[in-house]
Amino acid sequence: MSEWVARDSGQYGAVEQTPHPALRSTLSRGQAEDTAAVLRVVSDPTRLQILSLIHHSDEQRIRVVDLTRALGLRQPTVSYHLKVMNEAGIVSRDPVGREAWYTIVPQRLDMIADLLR
Amino acid sequence: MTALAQQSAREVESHAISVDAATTVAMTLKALAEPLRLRMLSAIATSPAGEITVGELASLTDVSQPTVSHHLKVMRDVGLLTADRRGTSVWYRIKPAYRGAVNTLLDRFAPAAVDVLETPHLVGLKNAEPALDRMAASLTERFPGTPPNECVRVVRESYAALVRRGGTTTHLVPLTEQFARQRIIDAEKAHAQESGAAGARHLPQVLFVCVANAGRSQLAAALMRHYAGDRVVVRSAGSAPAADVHAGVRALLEKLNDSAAADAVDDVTRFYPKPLTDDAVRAADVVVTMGCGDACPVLPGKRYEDWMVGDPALASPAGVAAIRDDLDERVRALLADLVPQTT
Repeated sequence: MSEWVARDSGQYGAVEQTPHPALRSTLSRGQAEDTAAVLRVVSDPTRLQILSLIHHSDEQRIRVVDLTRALGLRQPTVSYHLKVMNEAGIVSRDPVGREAWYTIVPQRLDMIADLLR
Repeated sequence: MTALAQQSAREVESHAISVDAATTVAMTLKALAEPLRLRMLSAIATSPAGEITVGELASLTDVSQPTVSHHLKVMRDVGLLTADRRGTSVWYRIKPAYRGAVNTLLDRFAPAAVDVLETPHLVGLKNAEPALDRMAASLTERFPGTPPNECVRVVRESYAALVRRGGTTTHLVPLTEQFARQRIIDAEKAHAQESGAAGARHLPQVLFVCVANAGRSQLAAALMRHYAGDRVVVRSAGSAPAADVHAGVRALLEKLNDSAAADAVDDVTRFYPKPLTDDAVRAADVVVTMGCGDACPVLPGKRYEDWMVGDPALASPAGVAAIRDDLDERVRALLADLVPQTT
C-alpha cells in the first residue's frame, strides 16, 4: 500500500498516506491493465465459488476432489479453473504425497476476501 | 468420511458463496475487467464532485467519445453507474450502493493486482513455507527410518538448492518434493550399504554427472532407464545445475521416457536439473562423469567412469543426434556389464 502511494506521488504530487477519496490519483494505464488482467481471471462464477470454498475451509486449503463434490462439477473442469488461477498467481498448488492441495496465495488473500464480502 | 467431517464440509459449503451470488458478482467483475473501464471508474471516483461528463472522460483517457459512451453503457447495465442529464451534458456517478466496493477495488485490489504481476518470482518463494513443512511431515511418515528433523533438513536444503539454480520458480514445490524424496531414498540406501545391511535384492545404481544436468547427464539417464527398466536405479545431477533442461534435449527425453510419465507426480517433475549431492554419490555403485572435471567427490569402493561426450548445449541439431547415438552405445555397454544376463 505504501509502495502504491509512493509510486504515484512522484507523478501527481504529494499524496496523503490515507487520501480522501477525491484526492486519490487515478489509475495509470499500466495499473489498469494489470488490474483488469486479474479481474478477467476471477470474473467467473465457478472460480469465485472455488476461491470462496478455499477461503472458508478449515485449513484454508482444499483438494480437487473436495471441489468436485462441493460444486458438482467434473474433475477436468475444476482442474482447468485451478490451473488458470495458478498461472495467474492467485492460487498455489502444494503436492502432499499423491494429493495436491490448493491454497490462495497469501499476498492475494485480502484482495480475494474483498471480492467475496 | 466421518459424520463430523461431513458436517464440517457442509458447513463450509453453506458459508461459501452461492451459485447465484457468484454469478452476479462475476458479471460485475467481468464488466470491470477492462483497462479503459477501470481508468474511467477511477477518474469518476477521484473527481472532486464524484461525477464527470463523457467529454471530460474522453479527454482524460484519450479515446473518442463513442468509445467512452460504449464502456459507460456496459458499466451502467450492470448497475455500477448512474447517469444524470443536466442541460446539454450527461453526468456519470458511481451508484451509492457500489461506492464502498469501488473504493476497495481501487485502493486495495488494484495495488495488489499490480503487485501480483510485478513480482511473480516472489509468489513461489514467500508461499513455500507451509508447503515445505507439510512436505517434510509427509516424508517423515513415508520414511520411518529417517528421523523427522533429517526430513526437514533435506526438504529445506533441496528447496534452497533448486532456488539457487535461478530461472522460473513456478514448479519449485513439486520439484523439491521429488528431489527430497530421491535424496532420502539414496541416503537410506547408502546407510544400509555402509553398515553392511544391504538387502538381498540389491539393484545396481548409476549416477550420471555433468555440469548443468541439462543435457548429457539427463540424456544418459533417460537412455539407461529406457534400456534397463527397473533393473537399474538411475540418477543424474550437475555440479552447477542450470535452470532448465536444454530445449533440444527435452524433445529426445520425452520421446524416450513415455513409460516414466506414469510414475512422475506431474509432467514438470520428470526432467529437471538438480545439484550433485553427497547422498547421490554415496548411494551409487557406478558414477559416470561427463565434463564436470573434479567437482565430483571420489569415494572409495565406487566405480568411476569418465565419458568424453560432446555438450548438446553447444551442438547443432545434427550434433545433438550424434551425441545421443554416442551415449546410446555407451549406456548399452555399461548396462551389459552391470546386468550381464541381458544384452
